[in-house]
Amino acid sequence: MLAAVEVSDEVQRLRALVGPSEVSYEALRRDRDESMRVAREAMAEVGALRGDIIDLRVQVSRARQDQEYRDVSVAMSPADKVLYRTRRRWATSVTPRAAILVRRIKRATAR
Amino acid sequence: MSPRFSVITAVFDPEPDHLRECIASVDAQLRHAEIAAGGVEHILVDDASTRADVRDALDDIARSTPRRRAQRRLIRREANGGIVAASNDALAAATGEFVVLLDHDDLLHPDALARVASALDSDPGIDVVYSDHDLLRPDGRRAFPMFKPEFSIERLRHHNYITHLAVARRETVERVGGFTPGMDGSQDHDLMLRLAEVAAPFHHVPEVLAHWRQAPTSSALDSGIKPAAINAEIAAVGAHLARCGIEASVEATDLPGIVRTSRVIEDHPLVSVVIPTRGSRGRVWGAERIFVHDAVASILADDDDRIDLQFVVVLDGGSDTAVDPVVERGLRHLAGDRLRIVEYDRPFNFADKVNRGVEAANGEYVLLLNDDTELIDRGSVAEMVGLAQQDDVGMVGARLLFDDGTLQHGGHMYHGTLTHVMLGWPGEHPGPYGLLRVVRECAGATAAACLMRTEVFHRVGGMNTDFAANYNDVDLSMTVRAAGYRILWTPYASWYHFESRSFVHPIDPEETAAIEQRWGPSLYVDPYANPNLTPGRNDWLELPYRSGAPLYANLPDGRSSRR
Repeated sequence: MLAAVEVSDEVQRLRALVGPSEVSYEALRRDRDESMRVAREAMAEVGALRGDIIDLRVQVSRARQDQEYRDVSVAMSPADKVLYRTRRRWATSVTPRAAILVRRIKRATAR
Repeated sequence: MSPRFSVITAVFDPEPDHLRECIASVDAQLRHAEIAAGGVEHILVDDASTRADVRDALDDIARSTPRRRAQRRLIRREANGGIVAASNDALAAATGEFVVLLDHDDLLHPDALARVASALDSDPGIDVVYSDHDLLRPDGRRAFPMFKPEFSIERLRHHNYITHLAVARRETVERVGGFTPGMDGSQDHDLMLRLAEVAAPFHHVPEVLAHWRQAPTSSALDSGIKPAAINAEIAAVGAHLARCGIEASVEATDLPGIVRTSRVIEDHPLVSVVIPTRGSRGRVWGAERIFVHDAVASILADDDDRIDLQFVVVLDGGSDTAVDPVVERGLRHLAGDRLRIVEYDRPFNFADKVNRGVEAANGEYVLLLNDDTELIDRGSVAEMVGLAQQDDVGMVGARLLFDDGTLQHGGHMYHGTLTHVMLGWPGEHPGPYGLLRVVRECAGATAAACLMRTEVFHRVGGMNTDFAANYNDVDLSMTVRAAGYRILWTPYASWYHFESRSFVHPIDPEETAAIEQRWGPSLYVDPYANPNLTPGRNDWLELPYRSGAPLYANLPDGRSSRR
């Protein structure tokens, strides 16, 4: 799909290349369109490979970060693990519940 | 005293062990004191199961009295009526303030109801809560967590991304009529759409609170084995759109569970295609082109009679060079009297050029388009107009591909960084959870190809000229959202974008500092990503150790665990 630009100097340039034959110009345009189609398909194949590489990279990243996380967990001493679990419980359970309790108290005292 | 939660479960010929595990997961909720205090009832409706072992299991369950268990009621239907009939029976028997939808072989996370209760306590106005979920593999391991966005009505119209866990106020569920007869297989999707029509935006808990079992007869494994469900899905979405006053046709896609809607275009609008250009040339697929000529010609080749087109080309001669006259001559030949030229002779400022182009536009809609683009899919502009017709939609973005067919733009993502969703992925990839095949809300859209109602563009003040080269579309997107509009991305409007081949503009660190200062911490909070995703990426990679997928493993049925 190309612009059919009928610009006089462009036509002159092409005439200088292929001669004064409109048939030759049309043949040249067909060749170019076909070449573009081939080039587009080749680039699409390259693009498909690039896309697969991106997909694989994500899979490797996922595996790598899981492995690193696991390595850190294994390296923890029993005391470290207890401390980690305590901190996690504090952050995910105790603190949110305390916040809800505070809100309830505030609402009750506001009434 | 009525319990706070009524878990409703329709039962029909599950594996008895799976049913027992499901029930045990409900009982496990009571280990949380506040849940035990509030009360949980579990309503099981046996839809005339045919298997003797299932009937025996139900008898055992009815007789059992473990120390800590939810109030349990077993209702036995005399004849099989389908999941909708059974679910409605369970709903009718429920007495709790909130109903929890749970399939007969799925599991609740031990903290599920505690988390939901926390959310409900934080805002008494919440009617519906949903969470993330993962799949429970046949070997008992969990995999493929689905980390969901904040409430996205447009996405819900095209895909029931909510699924499990869903909790809704019983009064509201009854108000919308419960489960709709005839929607078996998509009854949950239909219910969610009905609730979305009457309830406040759903609240999302970004944690995996339900485990969706992959069983041979489960849609989690392969929804292709439930063709009736696909038809029900189409009917549910069609009915929802009709109730919302949206004229559209609905059809299935090649991805199970995802439908496509084609909106009826109202009033034959004029769309002004605003293209800033310097008349650049470049080589694409081995051939030289003047970019703006192909951008215009490709749209003109799609003679869609639902819309009228105007082309407003902002010719940027710059302060030092003139645009080659052949550029304008070619445009006039292509577009004729649909062309309007705006001369621009100031120092480069993309935002200013766009603003001047929109000022000169006559259309009810403006399509902001880069010159280095070429239309791929016929009907793309009309597709975007159809979505932009909605009053609360401020901007519609399109799917953009590089010249090698890889994805350049799947919507903006602002999760810890400013980037394009799934940048560089294969252009036809469905993306995680069908992300790239569904019309959905997103944090922003690139101005390389985005459509807005002209009045919205003016209402938000147009593009911010402080961002001369970069981030002007990010700022526009943030402004549009701050004004209360939704930004949508559609995979059904598609262009090639030969980015960086027409004009290279490196990112100035001052521009980055400026956008961060303007929007503060909210800039990097993307409601359509998920806190469980690794920030600073665009590929939906989960935070460490939340993927659940074992390395190099194949599923027992032989399929790869790679998504």
